[in-house]
Amino acid sequence: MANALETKSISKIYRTDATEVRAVDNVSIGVKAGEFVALVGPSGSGKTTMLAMLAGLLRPSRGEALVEDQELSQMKESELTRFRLRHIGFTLQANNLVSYLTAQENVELMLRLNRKFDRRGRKRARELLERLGLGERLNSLPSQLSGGQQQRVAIARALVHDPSIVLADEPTASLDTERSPPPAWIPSVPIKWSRR
Amino acid sequence: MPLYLAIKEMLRNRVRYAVVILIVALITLLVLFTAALGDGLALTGKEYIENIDAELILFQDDVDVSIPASQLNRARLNNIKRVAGVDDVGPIGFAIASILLEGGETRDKIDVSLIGVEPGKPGAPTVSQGVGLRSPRANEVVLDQNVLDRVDIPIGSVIDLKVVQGAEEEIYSLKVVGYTEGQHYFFLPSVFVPLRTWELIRPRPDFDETGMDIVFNIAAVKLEDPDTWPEMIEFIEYNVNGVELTDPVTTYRATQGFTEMQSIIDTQQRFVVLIVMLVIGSFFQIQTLQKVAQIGMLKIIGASNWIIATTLLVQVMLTTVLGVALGGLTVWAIAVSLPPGIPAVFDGTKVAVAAITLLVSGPVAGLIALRTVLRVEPLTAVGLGA
Repeated sequence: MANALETKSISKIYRTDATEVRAVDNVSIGVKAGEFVALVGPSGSGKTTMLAMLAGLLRPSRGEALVEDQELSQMKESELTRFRLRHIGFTLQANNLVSYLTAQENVELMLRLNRKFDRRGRKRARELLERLGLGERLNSLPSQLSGGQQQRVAIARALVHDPSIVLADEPTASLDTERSPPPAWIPSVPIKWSRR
Repeated sequence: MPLYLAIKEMLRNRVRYAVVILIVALITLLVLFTAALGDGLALTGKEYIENIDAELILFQDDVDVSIPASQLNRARLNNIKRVAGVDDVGPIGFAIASILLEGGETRDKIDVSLIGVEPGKPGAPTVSQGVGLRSPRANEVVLDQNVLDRVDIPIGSVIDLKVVQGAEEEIYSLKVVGYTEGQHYFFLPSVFVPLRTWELIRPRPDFDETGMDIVFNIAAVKLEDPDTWPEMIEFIEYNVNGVELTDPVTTYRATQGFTEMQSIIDTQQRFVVLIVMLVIGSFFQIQTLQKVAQIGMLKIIGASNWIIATTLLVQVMLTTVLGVALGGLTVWAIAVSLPPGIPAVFDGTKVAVAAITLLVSGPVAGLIALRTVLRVEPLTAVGLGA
């Protein structure tokens, strides 16, 4: 099976006048469709930089990042934006949601941006939120949700348009432990639901 | 998509946007109302001259087209009449008087422009009701409709006209024979009397160098071929000594304070438009700065600059359009309920120009916020920048 995501000797080096910081240094990975991969490391080890390069938000200093066999660094900014929209689902640690859209509208936003918003899309968004335990909070604004609930809405949004890969930056950081399943479960299980 | 995002945000933050729309509406009201007052004041200063049935206005030479400074007599008028191409000439004299209203010892008064004209000659008013001035010596008046807006004076009734002559106040009784429309002059409604009557009742100067001859201010010159007026100015000035001619537009623009007043109103309007731009520009810039993280997040998930920028522009447009529409409606409501005497003229073209200026100024002001939106760097905005 071909890799859905691949990096070839990818590096990101930040240079200032006096110093050089190698945030990511010569990393080569391959991730196949359906695989679940976690990047683990201490704070400042370059996890977010790696994700940003995989999403085409940062251009690598060296090496290549390929998603669905397409070399991201060869694309123009506008092409990268379109590519991200169609092929990548992304969740952040914080600032994930549009403040003036409800939970359901936030998830549907991805469908609207992809011009896939219809009755089926709406149903799919609702089902994803319900499966993530937010069936009662569909019409709540982000300010009315806890950090963990907001994170789950962001996960639903990252999945709803059926992307090739989902990139999640510390997706479990805000999740409440007493009501939630184990951290790794949260991103992986909904991905399986969404593939059905 | 931009429309969806723009409207959702406005509805979910309706109080905030309502306040800005209200501010734009109030500023629109200010712009349109000052424009109407400016036009109204300008009209009351020029209406009679603007509507005069003549192509040229004759002045005494070397008075810089100043009506009060100009003094003409019959001799000059006769010289003008003899110039080839001149169809007719009508003398016009201006003064200030007051109509005394019915009442007890302290009678109310309406200040008016007392205009002396020669019946049937250029400068005499067109009558809308009743009859025009007939005899050059009759104690008759034709009233401007603007007087009737303030007080009902029937045709056939007698009005008392108060004038100051030297140190004395004199009261003259004159019979109303007709009405005329739209004849403000020097910011006052007008009362037309025959020139000889005017000469008799007008405030007299202490020294009259013309002796027995009637002295008036200007004369309305009607030409055989109206299109030749530019050439006729030179021709008449060449053939008759001691006179200066100009067209009615130049005449009313030279009225004391007219240009200055227009300039003040125009400057005021420019400042108000500037304030609109500052209000809209500041509001959307602050809004944008508050949303930088959200804009960054939208860019990360794949929203294009076009979508984000268009959303902002739609919000700017909607805010401006709703504000201007609300302000326009308020102006209209005020216009239909204004009491007579307030010189506000709502000229459709000027209202449209002012409204379009405001509508354009909003998006122009929003360009600052637009620049900020386009420059948002997604990773930095969400706190993940290097």
